[in-house]
Amino acid sequence: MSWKRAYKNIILGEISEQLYVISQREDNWDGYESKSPNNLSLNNARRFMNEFVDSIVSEGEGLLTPSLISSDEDGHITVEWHGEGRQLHLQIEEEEVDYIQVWGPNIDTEMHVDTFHRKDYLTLWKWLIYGKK
Amino acid sequence: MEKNDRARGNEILDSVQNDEILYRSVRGEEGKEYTTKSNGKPDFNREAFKAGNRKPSVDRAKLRDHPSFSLLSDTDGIVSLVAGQVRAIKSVERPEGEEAVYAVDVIYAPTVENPAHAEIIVIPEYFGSHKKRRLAYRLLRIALALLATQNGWTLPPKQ
Repeated sequence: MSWKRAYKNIILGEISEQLYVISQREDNWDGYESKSPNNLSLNNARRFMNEFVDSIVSEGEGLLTPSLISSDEDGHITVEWHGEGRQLHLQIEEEEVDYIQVWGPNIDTEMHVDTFHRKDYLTLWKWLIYGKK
Repeated sequence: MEKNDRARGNEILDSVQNDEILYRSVRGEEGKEYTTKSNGKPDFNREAFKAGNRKPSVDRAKLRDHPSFSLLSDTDGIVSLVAGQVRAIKSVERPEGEEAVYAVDVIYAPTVENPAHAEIIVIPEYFGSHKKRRLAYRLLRIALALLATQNGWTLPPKQ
């Protein structure tokens, strides 16, 4: 087994474990009336994270374990990485994935929100790690 | 005190001023609402600012004798935000001379149990893009967590 595949399997194993823990949540799991994660979003999260991790590792880039994997008040899956002065947040819904780039607290000038397409994976990852596109 | 002075005093008490400090109780369990970075400083995440009504609760420091009075649990810690920092999260352009409006605001909302209580509100209609409007509550909490990370613990949780 190549080191890339071994590395990918370790990261995906950790993510899969966390998604399993999240999948056990019931309605109002947080005491704030949040819905339990919905199965379509969970399935999309598993498929997407596999594709995303594969894409990053196959380019020879290092990968960080997410800072937080959770579900939101509507039952969608959320994943976030905190880098040095930069954060990348994902909102994984039933059929699409949105990303939020964050480099400060100002929503107008220091956050960017868009749909996450495959062509953006490496660019956004490099932005998170190195601070440039 | 003159009648006008008293009225002005009440107005200042009713509206949260930009220089006011706000306390938020954060769960002390590592990994839930914060992690500790390698330099020992806390890194808060948006879970620290959840609210059932989508209006995160804070306490006005000027109405609390000590931050420990804002703890929701003995195992929690306290972080501080400044009201002006919170309002600056999302600006709204207004013609010169017109009163300022806020897409993110801090509103005094006292209760019988907590006379210092205030709420942070977000008005998605002021957000430029459709995606930002849809994710407004999440963006708000990301921004609040970043401000808390910049400020650090006011009162760290007991070990």
